[in-house]
Amino acid sequence: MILLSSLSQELTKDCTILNDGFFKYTSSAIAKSLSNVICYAVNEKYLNRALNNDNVTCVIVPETLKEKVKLSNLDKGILLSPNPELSYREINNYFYQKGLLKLDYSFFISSKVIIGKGTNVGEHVFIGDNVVIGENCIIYDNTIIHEGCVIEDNVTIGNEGLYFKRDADGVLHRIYSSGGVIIQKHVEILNGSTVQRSHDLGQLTTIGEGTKISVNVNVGHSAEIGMHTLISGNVQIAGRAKIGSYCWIGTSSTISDSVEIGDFAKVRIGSVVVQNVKKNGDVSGNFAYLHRARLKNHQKLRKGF
Amino acid sequence: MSDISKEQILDVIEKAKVVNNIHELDASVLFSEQDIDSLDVSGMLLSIEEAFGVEIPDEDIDGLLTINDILGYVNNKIK
Repeated sequence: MILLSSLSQELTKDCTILNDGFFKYTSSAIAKSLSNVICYAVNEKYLNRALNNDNVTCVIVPETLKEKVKLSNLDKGILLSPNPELSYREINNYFYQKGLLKLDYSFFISSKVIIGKGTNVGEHVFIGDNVVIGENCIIYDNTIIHEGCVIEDNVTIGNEGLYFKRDADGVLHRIYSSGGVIIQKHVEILNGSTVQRSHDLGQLTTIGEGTKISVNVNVGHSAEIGMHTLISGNVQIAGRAKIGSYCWIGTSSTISDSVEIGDFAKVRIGSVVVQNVKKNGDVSGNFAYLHRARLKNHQKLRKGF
Repeated sequence: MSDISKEQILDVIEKAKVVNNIHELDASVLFSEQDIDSLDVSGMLLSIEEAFGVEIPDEDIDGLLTINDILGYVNNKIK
């Protein structure tokens, strides 16, 4: 555990500790599957979420929220910062680079696993029974692969995602992703695909049971894919996207960040999905729209020529 | 206006030449189970719109999965 009061002056420059507290992980105000979390809140909505979340033990808040934090009976650490997001980033990056933000798993690989030559496996990794991993793969830290999965050659799991924030001058600063990846039972990931680790351990990038991912697919940080979904080749799934169960995502489709696709939905080949798709939805095109309606309107246009 | 019959619907679809062997279609079976793809269906709906002067809004299209669906829908529209 890390006490707020034990943080170095460099990390807490211009900050004030209103109430001391401890944390173990960095995550968000809505962290679910992780306890002892430090997060930041830039407005009252997120502050309330953080204060009402038992998993959160420390919150970084701006001056403007100082009066909203009632210190009496407060069981959380509060760090007052002129720039909570920046302070969070520096704390996250510091402890990530120190190697302290890891899953509680120690290295575990079942004896019933086949791993091809040239494949590298990190620490803090769990690989269950009857998993087959091909050649020249990289399995980074904080990865959980459950039983019966097949990972083909040249697959990368748990690499860093594109996560930068601009400062007031427009300069981009990296925020290290300290999260991980969980791959449920009987998932298959074909040649050359990549699954990026999540921002933090509170929401792992997730591939649901029985889902099949074709070649050269990229699954972005903190994305969640449900059960028995089929992802065709060259699909790009941006960070935080959520794809339901029993879906089909057609070849070379792109799913924008934070988009949610309902269960049993179809995304036709080459679609660019920038808004949510309902359960049982069927969409196509760039930008993706109701598939059959798109076809009808397309034919109507053609008749006009 | 009097109700439109199934035969009128089939006649319009046949004239639009979007589906082969129109009379082998089972009106109560899903198009997708009769080798009729989404492009065929969109052609059918376009010809129905033109023939009966009805507009089928985009959000209604996914509910039209059989000939009987189209028949019920068009008759509701012209009432």
